Amino acid sequence: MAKNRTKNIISLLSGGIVLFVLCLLSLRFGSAHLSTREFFFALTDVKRETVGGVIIYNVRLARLLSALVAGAGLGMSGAILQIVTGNRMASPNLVGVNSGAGFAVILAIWLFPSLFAFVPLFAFCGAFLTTAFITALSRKVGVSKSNVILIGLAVSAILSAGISLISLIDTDVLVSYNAFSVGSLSGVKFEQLMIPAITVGFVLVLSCVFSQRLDILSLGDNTAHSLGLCVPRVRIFAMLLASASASSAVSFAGLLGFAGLMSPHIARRFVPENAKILIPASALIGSILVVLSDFLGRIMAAPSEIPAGILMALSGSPFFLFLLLSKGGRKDA
Amino acid sequence: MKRIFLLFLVLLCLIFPSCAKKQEAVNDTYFTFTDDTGKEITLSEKPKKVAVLFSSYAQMVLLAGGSVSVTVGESIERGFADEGTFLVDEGAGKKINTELLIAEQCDLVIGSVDIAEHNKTAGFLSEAGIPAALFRVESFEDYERVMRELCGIFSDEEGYRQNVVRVKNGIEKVLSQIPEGEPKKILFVRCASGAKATKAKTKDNSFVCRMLYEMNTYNIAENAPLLLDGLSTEEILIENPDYIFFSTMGDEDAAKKYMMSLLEQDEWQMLSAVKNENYTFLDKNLFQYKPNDRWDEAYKILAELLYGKE
Repeated sequence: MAKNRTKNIISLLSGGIVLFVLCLLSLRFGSAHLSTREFFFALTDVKRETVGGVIIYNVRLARLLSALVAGAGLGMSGAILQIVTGNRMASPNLVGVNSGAGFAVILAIWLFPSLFAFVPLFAFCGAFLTTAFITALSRKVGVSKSNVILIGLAVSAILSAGISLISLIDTDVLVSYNAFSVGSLSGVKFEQLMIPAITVGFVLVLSCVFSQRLDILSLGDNTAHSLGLCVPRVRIFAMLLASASASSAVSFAGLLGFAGLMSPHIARRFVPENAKILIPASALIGSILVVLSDFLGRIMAAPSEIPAGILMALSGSPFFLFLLLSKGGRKDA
Repeated sequence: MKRIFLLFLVLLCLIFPSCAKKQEAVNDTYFTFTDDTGKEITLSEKPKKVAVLFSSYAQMVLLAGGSVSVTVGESIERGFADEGTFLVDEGAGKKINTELLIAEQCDLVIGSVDIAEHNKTAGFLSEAGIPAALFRVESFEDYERVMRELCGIFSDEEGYRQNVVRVKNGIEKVLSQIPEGEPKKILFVRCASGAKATKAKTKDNSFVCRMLYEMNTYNIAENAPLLLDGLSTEEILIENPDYIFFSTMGDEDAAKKYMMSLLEQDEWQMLSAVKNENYTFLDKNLFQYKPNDRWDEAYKILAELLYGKE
C-alpha cells in the first residue's frame, strides 16, 4: 500500500516537473525572438513598460495560464465522465459541452454581435445548461450509463444542426464562430481566467471529496446500489461537476477537442484507476497537453499561429490510436 | 410499310429544322469573349435579359451600359438594382436558386469564379444552353479587363472611357506622387465582432493589400511563410507597423466596437501606430466591396492616409 502511494506520488511529481519545464519553455520561446538577456530583462519588467515585458506578461503568461486552466478543466471533466458512464470513450462532448457552447456562441454572435464581451458567458451557460438538460431528460428515462450517452448524442446532434442552420442563414457569423470552434488561446486575458480558474479549482476539490462515491459508482450500477449508493443522484452530481469544469474551459478557450478524451487514458498509464488519484492526474495531463499544443502552435508556423485545438487534433488523434492499438490500450478500451 | 414511311417522314421533319437552327446559330455571332475560367462564350445578339449573381458585377454591368434583370439581394441593398428586381438569392449570392434562374431564361448570366455556388450554377446553365460567364476582379487591371468585355457586350465605348480610362488616369496620377524611400510598415486586418484571431491579410489574398503594396509599403504579414489568418500578437509588437488598416466584416458597428476594445489593451497601446492614432477603419464600399469606378478614389484615400501629412 505504502509502495503504491509512493509510486503515485512519484508519478504526479514527475508530471509536475514535466509541466513546469513546459511552462518555462512556453514563457521563454514564442513568435518573437528574445535573446536570453532580453528575456530576463523582460521578466523583471513587471510593470510592462517595455515591448519585452508586454510580450512576456500580457501575451505569453496569459496564454500559459489559460492553457493550464483549460487543460486541467477538460482533463478532469473527461476523467469524471469516463468514471460515471463506465465508458472510456466518454468526453465532455458527450454531455453536450461542445455543442451547447458552440450553439450559444453562434446564436450570440448572430443576434447580439455587439455583446462580444459576453461571449464567454454565453459559452459557459450554453454548455452547462445543455448538460443540465441532458441530465433532466435522463432522470425521466432512468439515469443509466447508456441512457446518458444516447440522450447526450441526440441533444448534441440537434444543437449541431442548429449551428449549421444559423451559419447558412448568415454566413458572416462564420468568421467569428470559426475562431471559437477551432479552439485557441490567442487573445485570452487574465480577467477572463479568474472565474474559470476558481470553478476548475472548486471542481477538483469536490471531486476529491466525492472520489470514494465515484469509485463505488465505477463498480457498476447494481453493485453501487447494493453498497448503499444513490446511483442517479451521484451520477447527476458528477455530470454537473464535469460540465462545470469543461464549460469553464470552453468559455475562453473555445472547443478544444481531445483533451478531455485523451487525458484520462494517458493518466491511467501512470496512476491506478482510483478517482482520488486519477482525476488530479488527468487534470495534470490535460494541462500538459494543452500547454504543449499551444506552445508548438506558436513556434511551428511563426509568425503565424496554429490554434491549439487544431494541433491537438492533429497530434492527439494518432497518439490516441496508438494507445488504443497498443497492449495497454486494448485493456483500456 | 406505310406507317414506317410516315414515321420516317416525321423524323426527317424533326431533324432538318434543328440543323437549320444550328447553322443559323453558327453564322449569327454578335459578340464572342472568354471568361475567367477560360471558357469561350458566343452571344448571338445583344443580351436583353441579364442575370448578375454578384453585387459588384451588377454595378459593373450598369457602368458598361447594361441592365440587370435578375440578381441577388445584396445588389438591391447596394442600390445596383431596383426593389422589384427578380432575385435568385436573398443574400450575397452564396446560395443560388438554380431552378428559378433557369426558368427566367436569361440571355446572359454573370457570376464570380471565386464563389463555389456560381461555378456549379454555370455548369447547369451551360447544359441548359444559357450563356454563363464567370469573372474574377481582384485588382484594377482585372476590373479594366472585365469592363472591356462588358462594354463590348453592351456596346458602350463611352462607358469604358468614363468608367475605366478616366479612373486609370486618376490612379496613375496618385501613384506617380508616391514618395520613394524607405517603405512604410503597415498591417491590414480584417476584423469581425468577437473574432479572436487577428486576421491579417497579404497582397495574395486582399486587393487592398495589393494596392498598398503599389504605394511603397511593406506589409508585416508578408513575413509569415504560411499565413494562417491568425498573425501572432508578438510579431505585431516586434514589427511595430507605422500604420494599421482595418476592414470590417459582418455587423460593421459591432466589429468596430470590438476592434476598439482590443486597441485599448496594453499590448496594442504599445504600438506606435496606435499611440499616434495612425490607424483607420476603411470604408466598406471601397475596401470590402470592389471600388469599381471609384478605384482612383480608393487609391487616393490610401495615399492620403499614408503620406498626406508629409
